[in-house]
Amino acid sequence: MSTTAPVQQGVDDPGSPPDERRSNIALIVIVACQLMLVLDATIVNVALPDIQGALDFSPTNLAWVLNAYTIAFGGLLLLGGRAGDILGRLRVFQVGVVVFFLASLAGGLATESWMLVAARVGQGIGAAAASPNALALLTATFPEGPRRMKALAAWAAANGVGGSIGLIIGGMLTTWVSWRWVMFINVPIALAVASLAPRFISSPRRNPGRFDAVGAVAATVGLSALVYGFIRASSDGWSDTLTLTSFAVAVVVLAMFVVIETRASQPVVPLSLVTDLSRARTYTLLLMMVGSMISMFFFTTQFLQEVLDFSALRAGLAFLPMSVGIMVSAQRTTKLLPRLGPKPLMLFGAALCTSGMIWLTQLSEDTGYASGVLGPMLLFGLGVGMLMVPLSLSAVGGVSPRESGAASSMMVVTQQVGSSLGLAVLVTVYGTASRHAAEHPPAGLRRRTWPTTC
Amino acid sequence: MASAFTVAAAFVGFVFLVVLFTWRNQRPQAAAAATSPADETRAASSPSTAEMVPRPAAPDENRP
Repeated sequence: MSTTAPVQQGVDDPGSPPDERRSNIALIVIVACQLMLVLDATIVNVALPDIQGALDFSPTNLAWVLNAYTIAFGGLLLLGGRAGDILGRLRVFQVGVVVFFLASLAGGLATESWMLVAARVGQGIGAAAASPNALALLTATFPEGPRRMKALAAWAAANGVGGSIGLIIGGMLTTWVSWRWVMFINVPIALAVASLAPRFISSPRRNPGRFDAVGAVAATVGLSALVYGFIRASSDGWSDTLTLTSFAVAVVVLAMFVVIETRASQPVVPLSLVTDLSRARTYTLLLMMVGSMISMFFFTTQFLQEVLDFSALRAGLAFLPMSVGIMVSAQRTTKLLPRLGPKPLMLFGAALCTSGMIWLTQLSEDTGYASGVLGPMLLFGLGVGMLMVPLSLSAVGGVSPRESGAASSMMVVTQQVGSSLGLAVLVTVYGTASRHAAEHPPAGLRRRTWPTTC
Repeated sequence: MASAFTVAAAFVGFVFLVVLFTWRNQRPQAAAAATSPADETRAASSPSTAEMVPRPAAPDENRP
């Protein structure tokens, strides 16, 4: 598919006076969309027992309510970003939101288990189209400088708090209304985003080009296999046949993808993005950061629900201090960044996160929420805000407009792979330690608190 | 659980060390200055302009 003439969409008048209100609304629309996509990874988790009862899921198949979304989302991200570059970011963003809306509606109306799994795949496809283009639209709307800093702080905060907000809202809806509303809740949000986006978000020009179809297929298959491998490793172990097969497929196909991209005239991912050492370092740090963050969500929720006997809703509410910490520190970071530069803030943020994690290693059966969980959550939340803003700025900064969709995709892919990788590694560590200590196999861990994007 | 949190602490500890030893501190004011307020507001209302006319490369805060 190729395009010849660049077109503009949704631009009122290129010479119109500055309209800060318009860009602020655009920011709200973009961040609301991202929040919807992020919280969807956890909002369903709380409802899994009800879903299992209502749609007669087997325990094995129930995991596919989560996996279907994760794999479709992770596998199609690079393709979604590249499609935005060529077809128009606003257009692909809107299509993604509409697909997400339809899939959420279908999921809420599902009467059979396969319908819900199919709807979750649809949600993943919609999210893969919307998420990287939302970030690309944000960077196009806010050029490098203080305003981009603030916009990315809001973006980073939405990513950080989405997981815990999903748990809270999921718990409320499941407890007070029905599991179906964890799907229906997306309908009005997606409708609002889809209808407001063309009015308030200006679409950058399309970059004439064509799809590198072979590269796109390789990226989709390779990433899907990689994400599935990590999912399988966390549930069935690293030596499981299917785990090893998935990783083998991922390695082979992603290696082919690299070869294809080096030869492609218009690659899905310009290799300059990953061969640039400073940007590769940023991706690595994001990967580690998200991998660590997933453990905060996953294991702390396990502790709250299984040791402190918190309900799902109460466990979600217990994460509120961390969410507030992320929002406050992300906002403060945008103010301090111009004065101090990123390094001291990132060092302080990483030190806070490390301290919070070390504090959490002291959890025991006698630990209470206030004495042993609240403090680490606050430390970690404050640290995450300080780290994520400079890392996000670095990941999408200094990229040519032609490649901003690919750069945004790479950042979201990094977060997605980081959460899957982090969970797989940490569940393995937990399982090994538990077997040695008290013969608690990793299967004892429930997977219902798994935020796949942070 | 302590072992999992220890590994997670090592992840963020790694982030700390990498930032400490390899990150060059450069305030993003330079990047902001590269874009004048007028450019910024014009680009906000019409990003197509900002995308078609390459601005001077803004110094990335972490590039050597």
